[in-house]
Amino acid sequence: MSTLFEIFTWLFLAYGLIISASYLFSAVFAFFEIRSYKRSYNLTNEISLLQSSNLPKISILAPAYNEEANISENVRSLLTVNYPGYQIVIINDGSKDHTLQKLIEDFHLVEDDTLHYKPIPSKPIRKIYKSIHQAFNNLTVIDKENGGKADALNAGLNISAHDIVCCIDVDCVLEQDALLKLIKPFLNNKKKVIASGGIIRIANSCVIEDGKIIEVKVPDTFLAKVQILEYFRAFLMGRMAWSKVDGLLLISGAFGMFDKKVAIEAGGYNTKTVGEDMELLVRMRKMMRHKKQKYAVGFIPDPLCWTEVPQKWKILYRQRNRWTRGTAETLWLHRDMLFNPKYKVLGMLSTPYWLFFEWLAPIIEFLGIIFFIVLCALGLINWVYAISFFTVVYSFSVLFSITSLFFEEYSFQQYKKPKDLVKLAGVALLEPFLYHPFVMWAAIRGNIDLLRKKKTWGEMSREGLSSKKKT
Amino acid sequence: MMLEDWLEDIIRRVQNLPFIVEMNFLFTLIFSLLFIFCFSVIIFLRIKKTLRNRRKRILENQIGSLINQNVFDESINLEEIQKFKRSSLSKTLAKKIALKQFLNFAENFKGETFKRLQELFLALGLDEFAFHIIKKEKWYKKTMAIYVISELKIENDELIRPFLKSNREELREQAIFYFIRTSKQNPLAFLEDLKEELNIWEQIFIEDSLLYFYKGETPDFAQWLKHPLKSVVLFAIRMIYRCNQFTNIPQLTPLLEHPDMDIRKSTIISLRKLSYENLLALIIPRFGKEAEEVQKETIKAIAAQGEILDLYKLRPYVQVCTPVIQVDYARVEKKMKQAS
Repeated sequence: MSTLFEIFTWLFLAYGLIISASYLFSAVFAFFEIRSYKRSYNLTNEISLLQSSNLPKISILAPAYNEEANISENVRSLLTVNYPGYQIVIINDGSKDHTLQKLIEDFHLVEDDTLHYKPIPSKPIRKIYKSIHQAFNNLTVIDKENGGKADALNAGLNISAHDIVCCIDVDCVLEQDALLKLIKPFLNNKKKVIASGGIIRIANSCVIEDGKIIEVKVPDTFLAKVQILEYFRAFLMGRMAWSKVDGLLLISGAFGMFDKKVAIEAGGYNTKTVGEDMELLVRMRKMMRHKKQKYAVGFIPDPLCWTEVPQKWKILYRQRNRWTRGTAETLWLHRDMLFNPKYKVLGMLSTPYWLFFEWLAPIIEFLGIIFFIVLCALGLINWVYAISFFTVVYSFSVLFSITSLFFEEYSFQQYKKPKDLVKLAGVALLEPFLYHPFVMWAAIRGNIDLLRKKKTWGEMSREGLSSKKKT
Repeated sequence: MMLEDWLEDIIRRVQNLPFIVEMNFLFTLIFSLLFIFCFSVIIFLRIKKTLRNRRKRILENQIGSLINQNVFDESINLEEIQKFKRSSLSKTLAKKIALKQFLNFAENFKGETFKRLQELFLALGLDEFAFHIIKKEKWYKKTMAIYVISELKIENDELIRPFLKSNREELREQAIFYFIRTSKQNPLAFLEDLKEELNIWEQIFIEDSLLYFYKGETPDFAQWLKHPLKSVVLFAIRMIYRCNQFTNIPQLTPLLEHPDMDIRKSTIISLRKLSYENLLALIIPRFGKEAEEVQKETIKAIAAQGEILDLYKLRPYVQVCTPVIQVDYARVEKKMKQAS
């Protein structure tokens, strides 16, 4: 029995060491990627881009479901983005409130009977609207039956006019130059670029005026603050590192740009998964590999898109539950890629990493806690060992969070006041006790729900950003 | 005495700890120290940047005032400039800020004021500073310095020429833009020696430099229609319509039969934008054997220049085309019918 316990102990230890090493590597790679980006793009002249006749036109796809409170303001914000040629496609996904009526009234919409080819199946489209007002002539609204976010985006892909599509959450706040920056990878790459993603920033408590971020503030609540650190780790360290080794598997559904033809050829968004953003990118990459076509996926570390994160534990729980199910579903759907050298970095590094360190990590952690409780109950704990391991893990996790804060300071310095940084460092000290166990539990429940074949998104109520006006 | 005992006790206990526990505590200590170090560095950087930004704003205002005072006067006040140079431009940071300020002003000034701005730039010795960066500094600083001197049209061809063959893409790009912006004639001479394809990013900035900075005679883009690099041919095709070079239409039309689909497509776009009247007669007969992208452009050209009868000429082929083309055809047909 004690030998078995010892084997388990060593397995948990080995797992912990490997995951810590992977974090170290990702930090190093991310640092070099951010440095390279900063050096390469330190003199971008946006006027030249805006004047050019050669900039590809973009269709912004924004699904909306029961958004009547903020939809008009959100669309107005999108209409002010700096880009020479773009179309905004709002997809009203069978809202039960007055989202559509609000859009029709505020933007002078009339029915548009233009024919469209619809290569990807989606729930029936009731009507398509266009504005008769000159100021909104780049606005298209699709009214369709409810089918979920993926289905709405598929309808948007079918109706959109341009070859590059930018899929966003309708309530996120885009920086004025967001499209100009996100299009960069499509322009300056010798390979065919199939997608590019940007960093998502947290807008809770920020001062927003006319759909623009005027002042970046650290949120008041612990839950929002801790997610800032989490996003720094995920985007500034995780995704930048994956971008460096060309192993990105996920471009956030809140803000990502795609080559429409490739997305359509790959079959569009998968409506049977709740992780449709990750699944689409994996499928697109897989398809390009099968076609033996050289391609690239871009990633821009500039803060381009601001979104509201859950400030209530219940909402956060639903979100993390869904993310876990999405990850598991995608990994299962593309299990043939795992350790498959045919897919190079994706097969040998990215998918194994996502399997062992993203999907499996909370499960192993949970089992570790149970194992620890069993050992406690049996009186088999050597407390000196236990405390020493606990302190090393805790100090490492805090150091990792602080490193991500350092990356933020090195790169884009969105939080200007030293007291903001002190607050975030304080949160880093508390996170392992107050936040991490909750997120782990949400992930465990996500896996249980997956086994129960739960497919719903769960209601994601938001406090709303537009209410926070500068006074 | 008690403290000493306590410390001794701790040391004794630590010395007797198992190796793994010792290592764990050692790593905890290292990580904790690193945490303190990182956090101190972050706060130090933040405070340093805040102070630097304050200094920067003061300097920006000073340089801005100096520029405003001098560029609008009849002549620049050399004595005042030398005084300013000695008092405010002695440090590298100040010089870097000055470069950026001149860059901002250069974007907004034209004609006489721009010339005065150049004179002021030279009088402050910022050209020497920029040349020093180009000679000695790291590549990303060099790109910035080349960018500044090309925006301000400060010439030093000998210094910049080697960068046309630089292994660093960014440096090569800036060198290209420099030569376009400062050249008096033949700004695209470098295309002859080009060995690698131009990406869209480079094409955009070459176009921008040509249209908004280069003051000499517009090049005849037809000379690059037979260039071995596809991106150069596509660039030339597009620039022909951007610069309204109607005289190059006879050179463009043979490209409608070019083996490369992208070139045929771009040629149709260019000829359509040039409102070439015989375009439809040339492209409609080829419709049936064309690639989907070219077929799309053909339908667009008919929608822009043709009549419904021209569209009907495509009907026999449309039935065997892809659904995308069939829908495009039906859409244009509907619009044309409504219009008539």
